[in-house]
Amino acid sequence: MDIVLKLEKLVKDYGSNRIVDHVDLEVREGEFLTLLGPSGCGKTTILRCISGLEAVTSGKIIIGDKDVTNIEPTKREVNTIFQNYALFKHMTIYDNIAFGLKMKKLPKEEIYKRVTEMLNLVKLKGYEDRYPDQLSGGEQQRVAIARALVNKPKVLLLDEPLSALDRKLQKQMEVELKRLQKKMKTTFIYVTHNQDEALTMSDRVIIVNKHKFEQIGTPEEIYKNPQTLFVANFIGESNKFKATIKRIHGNRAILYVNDDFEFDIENKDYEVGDKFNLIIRPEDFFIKENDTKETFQCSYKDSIYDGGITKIYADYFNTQINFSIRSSHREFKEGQTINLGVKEKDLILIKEGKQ
Amino acid sequence: MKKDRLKWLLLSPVIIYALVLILLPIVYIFILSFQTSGPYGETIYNLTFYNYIELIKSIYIKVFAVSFGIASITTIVCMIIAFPFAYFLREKSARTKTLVTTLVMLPFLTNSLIRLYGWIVLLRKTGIVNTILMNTGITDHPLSLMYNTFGTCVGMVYTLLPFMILPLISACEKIDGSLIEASHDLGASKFQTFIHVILPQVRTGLFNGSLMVFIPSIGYFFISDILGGGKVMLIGNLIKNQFYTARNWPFGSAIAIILIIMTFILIGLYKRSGGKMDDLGGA
Repeated sequence: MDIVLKLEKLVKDYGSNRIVDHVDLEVREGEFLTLLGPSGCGKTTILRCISGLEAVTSGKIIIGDKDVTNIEPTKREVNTIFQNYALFKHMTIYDNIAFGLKMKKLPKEEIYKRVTEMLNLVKLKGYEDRYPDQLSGGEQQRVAIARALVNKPKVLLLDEPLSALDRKLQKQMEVELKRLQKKMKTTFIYVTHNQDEALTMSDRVIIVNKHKFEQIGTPEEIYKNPQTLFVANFIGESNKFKATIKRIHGNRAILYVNDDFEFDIENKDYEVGDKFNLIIRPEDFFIKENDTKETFQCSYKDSIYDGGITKIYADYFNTQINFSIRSSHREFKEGQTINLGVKEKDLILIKEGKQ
Repeated sequence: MKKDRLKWLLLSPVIIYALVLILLPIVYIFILSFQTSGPYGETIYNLTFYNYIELIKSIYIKVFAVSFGIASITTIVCMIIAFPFAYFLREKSARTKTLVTTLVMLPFLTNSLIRLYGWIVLLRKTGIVNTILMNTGITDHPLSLMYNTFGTCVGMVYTLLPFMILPLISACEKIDGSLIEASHDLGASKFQTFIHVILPQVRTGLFNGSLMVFIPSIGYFFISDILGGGKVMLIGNLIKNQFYTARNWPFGSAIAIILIIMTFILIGLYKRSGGKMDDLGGA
C-alpha cells in the first residue's frame, strides 16, 4: 500500500515544554487511522503540525512525495475538521462548502457540481441557503465534513469531531464517518480521547501517551495484545495481578500468580524470576464449578446489570476482580465463593518495569 | 403595581432628560425650519419650504460635498490606522489591552480645544514638522500643513480616532480565531481570509466606528475653525454661522434637520445591509 503521509522524528516545543517528542509515522493511503490518548498527550498538536497550523520545532512532514515541513497550510493537500466545526456563520451552507473551491478560483459550474455532489453525500440536500446557526449540531458537523471533503484532500484530519454531540448522535456519526471514508477512499487521521470511537471506526489505532507513540496496531491488536501497562489500562477494562516465573520445564513455564497459585504456560524465552503484570479482561474470565487448579478463588461482592451482560465485582485477596457474565445466567449471594478460570491465550503478560 | 411605580420613578430622570433636552429642541428646530427670518433676526411664523429650497443652491451643495468628502477621508484614515492596531491588540494579554485602551482614552481627559492648539505648534510654517522636514532636506521650503483641508483632516482624525479604535478593539476581540485557521486550512491566502472571513466578523464594529467618526466630523466646526483657518466650510460651520453670525435660525434649523435625516439614512442603510442596532450600542 502506498504511503500518503510520513512523519519523521517530529518534535514540537512550546517554550520549554516538549509537546511532541520524536514521533515517526507512516500513514497508508485510504486508511482510517486514529490517534488515541488522554488529553494533553500531544495528539491534537500532531494534527495541527500536519495541517501546518502549527510550525514544527524539528523533524519532517511528507505528504504524498512532497516535503511540506516548511510549506504554509494554504498549500498543503490536507483539510481539517475542527472540534467546534469552525463554520463561517456569515455564509450560507452552500458558500461554506464552496469556500475552498472558490479560493482556488475554480469555474462556477464545477464548484456547483462538486458542492451539490457533497450535499447529497452528507444528506444535506435542500440546506444550501440556510445559515449554520439554523442547523442542529449533527447537521453542522456534516457541513464541516462536506466543506473539507469537497476539496478532495489527500488526508483528512479530524480533531475530536464528535465530542460536542450527544451520545446517540455520536454513534450515528461514527457509522456515517466510516461510510463516507469508504466511499471517498480518503485517508482519515482521527484524533480522539474516546476509545469507543477509536475501536469502532479505525483500521489502525495509535495510542499516544506523554507526547510519544505508545503502541500502533489494529483495534483488535491493541485490545487483545497491549504492549504496555498504560495501553492495557487505557483501552477497555482490565484486572491487574502480579505474577512471577517460578520454574521452567523446556517449552513450558510455571507462572506464579499473586503468590496464590501456579499457571502452566508456554515458555516464550522467559527466565526464572521474571516479574510480570498480568492483565485479564473482564470478559475473559469464566466460572468453574469444581476444579480449583489455575483458579482465582474470590468471593462475590456486588453486581451491576448492564443490559446484555452483568458486571460482577468480587474480592480477591486485597484487590477486586471484575468480570462479566451473560445476564440472568445465575445469581450469587454475598460472600459466596466463585472460582474463576482463564484460558491461557487470554493472559496478557507485560514485563514489569515497562510503564 | 408598586414595583411598576418604582420602575418609572427610577427611569424618570432619563426620560425627562431625553424629552426636555433632546426631543424638545429637535421638535423646536423642526418647526423653526419651516419659518423665515426677519431683517433683525426675528422669526416670522409662516409655513414655507423656502429654507429647504434655498439649500439646493450650488453654494450649499458644495458645503455638503466638502463636508462629506472630509468626513469620508477622516473615516477612512481612522479605519486604516485603527484596524491594524485593534487587530494586533487582539492577541495581546489582558493587561496590555487595558493599558493600551487607557492610553487611547487618556486625551479625553484634557480639553480638545487645547489639544488642537497644540497641533498648530506642530503644523504651522515654522512648526516642528516643517522644521524637521527642512532640516533633513526632504523639502526646501515650508509646506502648508494647516489652514487648509489637510489641516482640517489631521485635526478630525486626531480628535475622532478613539471613536474608531474603541469599537474596533471590541469587535476584534470577538473574532473567532478558529475561523481564520479554517480559512487557511481550506486554502485561502492571507488576503482572501481577510476579505472573506475577518472583515465580515468585524463589519459591525467597522460601521459602528465609522458612524461615530463620520457624523461628528460633519459637525465639528471648531476643528475647521482652528486648523482650517476658516477657509474650510463644513456643514457644522454653516449651521453655526446661521445661528451666530447671520442670525437666520430658521435656515440653520433646516440644515440641521437635513443633517439628522442623512444620519438616519446612514443608519437605515446599515440596518438594510444586515447590521444590528444592538451592535451599534454594544461598542
